[in-house]
Amino acid sequence: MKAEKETPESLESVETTCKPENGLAAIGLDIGTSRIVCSQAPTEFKTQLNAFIGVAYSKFAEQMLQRNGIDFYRHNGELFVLGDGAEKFASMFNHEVRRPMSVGLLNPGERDGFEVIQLILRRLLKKPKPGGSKICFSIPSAPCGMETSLVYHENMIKRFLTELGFESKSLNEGLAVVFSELANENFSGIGISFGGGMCNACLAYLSIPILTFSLGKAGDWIDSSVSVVTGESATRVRVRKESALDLSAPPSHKIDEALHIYYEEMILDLVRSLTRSFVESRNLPTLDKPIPVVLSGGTSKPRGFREKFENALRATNFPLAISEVRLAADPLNTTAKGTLMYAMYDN
Amino acid sequence: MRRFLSAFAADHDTAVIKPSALPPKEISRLIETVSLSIENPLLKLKFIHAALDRYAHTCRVMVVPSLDAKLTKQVLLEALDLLVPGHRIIIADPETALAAEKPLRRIRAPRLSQMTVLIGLVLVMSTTYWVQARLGIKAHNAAVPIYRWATEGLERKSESTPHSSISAKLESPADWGVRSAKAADSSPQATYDAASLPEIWMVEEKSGYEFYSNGLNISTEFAVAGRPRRYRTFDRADGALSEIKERPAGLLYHTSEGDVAPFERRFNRLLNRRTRELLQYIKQDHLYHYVIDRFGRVYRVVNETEVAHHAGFSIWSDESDVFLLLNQSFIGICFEGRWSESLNSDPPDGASTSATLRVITRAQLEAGRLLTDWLRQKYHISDSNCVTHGLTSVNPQKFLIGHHLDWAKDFPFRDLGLSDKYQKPLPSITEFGFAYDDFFLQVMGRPWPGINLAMGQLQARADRDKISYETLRRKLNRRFAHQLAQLRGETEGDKDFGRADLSQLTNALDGQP
Ligand SMILES: Nc1ncnc2c1ncn2[C@@H]1O[C@H](COP(=O)(O)OP(=O)(O)OP(=O)(O)O)[C@@H](O)[C@H]1O
Ligand SMILES: [Mg+2]
Ligand SMILES: [Zn+2]
Repeated sequence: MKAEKETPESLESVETTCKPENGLAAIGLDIGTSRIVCSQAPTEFKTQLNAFIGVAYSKFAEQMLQRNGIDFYRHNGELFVLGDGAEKFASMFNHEVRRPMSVGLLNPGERDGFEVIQLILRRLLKKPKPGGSKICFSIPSAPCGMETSLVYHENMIKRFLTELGFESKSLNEGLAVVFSELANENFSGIGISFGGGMCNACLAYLSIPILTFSLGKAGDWIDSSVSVVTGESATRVRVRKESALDLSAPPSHKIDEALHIYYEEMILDLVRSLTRSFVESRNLPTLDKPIPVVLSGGTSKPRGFREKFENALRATNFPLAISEVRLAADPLNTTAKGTLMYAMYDN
Repeated sequence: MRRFLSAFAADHDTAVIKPSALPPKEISRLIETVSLSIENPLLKLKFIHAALDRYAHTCRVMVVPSLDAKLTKQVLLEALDLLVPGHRIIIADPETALAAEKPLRRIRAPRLSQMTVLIGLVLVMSTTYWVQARLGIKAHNAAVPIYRWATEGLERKSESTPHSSISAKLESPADWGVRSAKAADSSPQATYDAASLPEIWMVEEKSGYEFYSNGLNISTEFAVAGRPRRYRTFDRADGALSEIKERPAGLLYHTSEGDVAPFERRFNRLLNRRTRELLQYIKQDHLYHYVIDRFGRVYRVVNETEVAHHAGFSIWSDESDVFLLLNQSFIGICFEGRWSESLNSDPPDGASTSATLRVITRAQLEAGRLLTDWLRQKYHISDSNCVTHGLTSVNPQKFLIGHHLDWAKDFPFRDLGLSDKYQKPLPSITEFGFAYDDFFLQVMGRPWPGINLAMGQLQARADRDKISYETLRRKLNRRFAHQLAQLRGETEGDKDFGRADLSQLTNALDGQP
């Protein structure tokens, strides 16, 4: 019996890209407590602080802003400075910025919060394409007892995006990290985002979220806790934290010392709660391979963070075997990248 | 897949999805294997979702054990197909083209050539091989348990209440199948007598094959040395343990249950490759004595006078002797093919060649006849000891029949010059009071006639002894445990036997009235 010869004709290699060939334009949106990141292509990110500052209208203030090239809006007799400009403005006038969101969700104590988010989003998003544009935005897992707030938060955003003419859907932030970082592991593993308002984690197996989890303690909590014990303003704490903190070296400064303490406390709390919720969950599948853990988010950026986290994790009786703990490639944009991927999914 | 994911993407609970909603490990592993070769993350995600989604769809209608392999392949190919339109696929291994027929055509369509995907399709080959290795051949030993795992909930309960005399009464053998049985049995006994066959001799022996006068050609390329046979049997009348015997006493037929390529010219290369892989695997674990591939080629793996691990816990008997653990006493013949393929067809019959030909090819059937004739003549094997794995395999802990089910129906006894064993009272029931459970019925639809006959005999015996059917069963169960224990020293090297926890078995029995 003679076998037939069968050879595929062309086997030349082609480039790979995530761009949709046709169909809707896709946008990934990470609406974080501290920053809003928008992504329309895998390596393209636009970001604005999710913050604002309002001062009573005066000619002087207006001129001052104009002279410094800071965008502002007049709103109900106030001047609103949004996004990154708010930071500049705040340091100029030694003010604290206001935040439309806290602990991952719309801030109920901030009357103008949602309006500000809308303005920031309008600034970040181009008009929807004529064929339609699809947005996927991140949402946290609700902290215990906050489920209804999450529903509100999610729907407010969805509604607004619809108003702007976008098709939208949401994606859990932890799962977004998994989508973004764990492709090589077939989307199996734990993704954690250490943000400003909260830490979000998701255990996924083959991209299916098995367990999601959040902790309402993250960058903001560190800032305010350090501020309380050192008497420095939270903004100054944050600036120092973002520019100089090294968790791998012993602290040499009072603020650093406090930052170390609260960083450690946050990590411990997260590892403990995560362990507990994994242990308590009767839903854990038995995985036959150790899984990776990926860390992302602004709060994971200081030197030595990964090591500190890994040590804490390895020191507990974590119910799943962990192969490695690694840092996301681009921690500040990880969530946005995951949402973009999921936005492109339907094309 | 949208359905699958969107439900969870925005889920707010800590616990999002139950692992029970995930496919069994074997399937997930397979999906993983395939998706590892997909480089584009988005496509990988889509592929995984599509595969899971297909699986979720299909597993609900899955009624057949060891269907997983085929099903999974279908699931995966469909999932891939979903990704293929408008994309270019690069196939790393040209041979996989054979298996990835559809995507390949797409690649050839010129208008699709500006596309993007890179799927290192080591895929279909590696995975089907994987399936074959994990689910298939081994699954010849494992496939049914896999399915059992899937239907666990259903099954556990029923196992504690095995069907016994009730169904024997309800379903009289006269219902079906008996006519053909009569027809078979009324034909002269001599038909089944190997001695009545014209003499078969070896015509030629060359390195790599043996050729026999009846047309049988045995490839010896994969032959491997084993451990000599040494076994004892029990006297059927008084239970006495026999002398040590070394001659093979019977033939036990199997199917490989592995993944088989469609029997078409364009899959020629794949068909060949599957067989080679199967043989390698069988050789490595000494699984069968003979393999008959899809083209009817006969391969010797383990020598007939040595032990192969093909039968597991198994029971058979002829007119005078009872055989336990047939690895020791029977020759294992494996048809490359999927018996489970025939399951959704007709009720057990044993007479219908068309059902058989869903499992094996005509070439295999013919080769099976030649091999059977030669072996029977060479070792003076009586017709009554030519039987199938599905008819003999048992679960000794639970006293259930049908632990393995290959050829539990549709075996072409008559075409192989043998009497129909589906019509013969089943020895595991008549001698040892075994029963079947709901799982068995789910798979088989209904018991084969020999089961009902056996239960009828047992019932008659219980009536005669003025004890209940159950009491008689227990008594016979105990006899089984006792006899099995007697074999312990004799079969030290047998790995199936090694796995049996006899003390557990006897304990279970001690608790009984
Ligand atoms: N280099 C840095 N070192 C330390 N912390 C940093 C650094 N850069 C940013 N951060 C902190 O990270 C936090 C913001 O991270 P990120 O943008 O990931 O959060 P978010 O997505 O806005 O918030 P959340 O996910 O909690 O809603 C802030 O607390 C910020 O101070
Ligand atoms: Mg975030
Ligand atoms: Zn078998």
